[in-house]
Amino acid sequence: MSNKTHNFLPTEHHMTLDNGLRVHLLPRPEFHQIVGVVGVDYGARDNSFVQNDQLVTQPAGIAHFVEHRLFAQPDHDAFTRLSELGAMANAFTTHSRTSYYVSTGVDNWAPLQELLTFTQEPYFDLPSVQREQEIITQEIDMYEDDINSRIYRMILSRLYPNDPLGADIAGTAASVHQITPEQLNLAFEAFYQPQNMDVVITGAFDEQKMLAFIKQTPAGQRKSQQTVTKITPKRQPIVTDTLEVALPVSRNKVVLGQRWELDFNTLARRDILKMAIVGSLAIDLVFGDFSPTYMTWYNDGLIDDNFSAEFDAERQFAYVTIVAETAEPEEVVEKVSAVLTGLVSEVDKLQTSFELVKNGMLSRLINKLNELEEIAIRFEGQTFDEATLQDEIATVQALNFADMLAILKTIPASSIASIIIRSDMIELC
Amino acid sequence: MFTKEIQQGVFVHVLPTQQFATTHIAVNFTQQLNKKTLNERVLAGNMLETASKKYDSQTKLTQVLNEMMGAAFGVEVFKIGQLHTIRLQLNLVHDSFVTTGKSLLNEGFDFLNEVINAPMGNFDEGFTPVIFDRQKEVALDEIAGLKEDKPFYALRQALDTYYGPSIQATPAFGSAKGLANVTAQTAWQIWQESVAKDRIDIVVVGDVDQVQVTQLAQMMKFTARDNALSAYYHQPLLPRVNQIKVVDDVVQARLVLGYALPAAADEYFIATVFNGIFGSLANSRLLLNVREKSGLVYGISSDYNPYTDLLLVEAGVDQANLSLTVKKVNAELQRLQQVLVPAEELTIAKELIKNTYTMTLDQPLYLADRVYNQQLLQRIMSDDDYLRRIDAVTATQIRDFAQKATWQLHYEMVGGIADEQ
Repeated sequence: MSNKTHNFLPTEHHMTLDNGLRVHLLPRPEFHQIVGVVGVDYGARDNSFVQNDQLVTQPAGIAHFVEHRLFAQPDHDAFTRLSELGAMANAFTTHSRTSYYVSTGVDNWAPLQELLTFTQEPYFDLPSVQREQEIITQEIDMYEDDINSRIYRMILSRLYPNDPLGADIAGTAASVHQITPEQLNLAFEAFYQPQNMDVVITGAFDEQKMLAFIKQTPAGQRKSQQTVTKITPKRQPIVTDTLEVALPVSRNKVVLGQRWELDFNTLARRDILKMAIVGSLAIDLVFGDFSPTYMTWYNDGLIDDNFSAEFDAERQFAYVTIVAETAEPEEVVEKVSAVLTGLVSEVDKLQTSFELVKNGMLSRLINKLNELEEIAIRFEGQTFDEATLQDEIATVQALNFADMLAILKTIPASSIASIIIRSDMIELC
Repeated sequence: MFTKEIQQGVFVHVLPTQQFATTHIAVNFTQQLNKKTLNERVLAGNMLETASKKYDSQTKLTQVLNEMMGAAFGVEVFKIGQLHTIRLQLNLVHDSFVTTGKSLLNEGFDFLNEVINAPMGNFDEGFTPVIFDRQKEVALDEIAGLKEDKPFYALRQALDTYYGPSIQATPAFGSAKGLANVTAQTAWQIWQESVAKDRIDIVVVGDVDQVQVTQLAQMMKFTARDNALSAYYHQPLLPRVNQIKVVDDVVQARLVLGYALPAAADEYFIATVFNGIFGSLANSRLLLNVREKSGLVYGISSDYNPYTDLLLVEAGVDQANLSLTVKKVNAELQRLQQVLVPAEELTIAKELIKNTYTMTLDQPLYLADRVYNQQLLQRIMSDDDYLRRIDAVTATQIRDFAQKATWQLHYEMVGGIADEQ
């Protein structure tokens, strides 16, 4: 490659500070912004853990609640402060991670100081915790009104019965009303420890100065305490009966899911990353424009542009989800299930399209090099052994069809879960 | 920035930069909003996105894009006030990622030329009927599906109420009734007319040479055209607030309030700061006072469109809190009309707006869009100019501007059994 790529793919640095905090500096010269992320290896699924040999179980939605209230400081609100400092700020909680991020001008590091301070110093007072219960209840109502997020939870609860993965990340109205300042402090002490956090900085900055800067913040200075052991819920068998529900959708929808049983405890994490990439590529191949089977479904009107197939992998879980709108739900369930069940042989038929689909994936990843937030937020810490967007790109570039097929053959996939959603809307004239 | 009018009404704009891993090309076809062409243009755009004479199936089109190292191609339609635009966008990875040694810029322009000048179909039949009918079905399904996105659907209903019979009420993506009447022939004719008569702006952002881009653009052989465009839409004030209450299948009620607020051309920056403080910034008064302090709503924001004089407030709110929320929103507007914004709050708002602007300098799509907007609307200015003019806005200007707002629309969507329509 020519020297010009240097602008897009500069050298990245990963280091661990004395207190256990992991720092990742991902420079992007010529940009006008710096994005900083504090990522905590703690999510909605982690509400049971072992602390001092004791099993602790907290109310559903606690990780998300911590995220909402952590901005509160004794003398100010960090979110307002960040705005006042001229930065954009946001935070979000997934099933496996909590992330706080700020975006600021290249010469304005004060928002980074605030980020690396408020995430280390909780202040959970009763009146605001009580008020937050109401705000989050409203948020849960909003997600209830969103049919797509509802059906997503439904399919996950079929794939992962009795597992928080199938529930709302925000919890339920009842569970958030059980959350107290003491519960929040317990969660913070358990998981917001330097050795359980990653600081990611990307954009235009001097690396030496940035490292020195991070070291003098509370995140860099804070002493680490004993952490807890996360408990991964035991996998239950998938519920394979097709669930039929009636919802106010304009067209019938079909949702299918399949668990991929990647062993996060024994496999090398970069191998898991490769498997996740292979999974996404395989799904792109068989449910894409180069698959004659898929195009027949599309051209016959069995499915339309509202067909989506995705592969997701996070800490300790990986799955495929497919959503389609159709007039013939049973037929879609049957045909899509057959493709997923016979994925290896389906992929094997599409060798000639491999490079094209790989180009598509590469291009989507290369485009993300333009987006500082994507570079920072995609980073999943230890889950994929500190792989960055650059590492993802290199992994895809190196992949050939034979590798892909060989890897695919080693992955144990589950049987299929499915849901049919029929419209209960009044017929409109 | 490099700009050249290669034919009367046909412009090439190039923003050379080595910052990005990609090259972004946008070809914009702009005309005055028109009931007789809008729906045809929507379906023509969908056809261009799907196939062309040379790439005569969706699979072939996808294949050629993937051969161009996974180029991303899309067609979108949008409105700027009274203008309607069809935008073709092609996004290419930087040539240094190409393993074949070819230049993607040349291939990219060849591709766009095919799609624009040789669509799939012919003069007699129009767009190839089999594909056209399918695309029409898909577009109608999509419009029907929008009813599921309650915040969006509520906003659409509110805008319909506000604009009434004016063409301004029709969304950029058309209406179910309008789309249903489009035929493969009319869509074809309107597309040919658009290519011949629309103002065209070709915008390229990336590590490119302006001479090469100009040559490639000339290869598309667009002829001279003459069109005077005006983005501004004004409607007379209603004698009283237009009230509408809709029952739909929602747990959380939706509230949309509309205010007529005319802005002179030199008031653009005042309007931006005013709207930021009122309800569009992360620490806006609506968010802080109506959401955070009163806990009345989950989400609330304002939006101001300088081309249609319309200030909108949207909120997701518990049904029981609707009337109190309306009071609070109007009280916040009244406070801006009567009391000068404190210096510190004003400074913070300006910093946030400037920061948002600076962030967009890192986004090729925004850069291309800004070049298009500035050139089309003749509001050309440098980044420094923009930042300086935001800084120059005063508290008095904001108060005086706010005083021009007149409440015109009060829309509520509440829970219950959906209305039959």
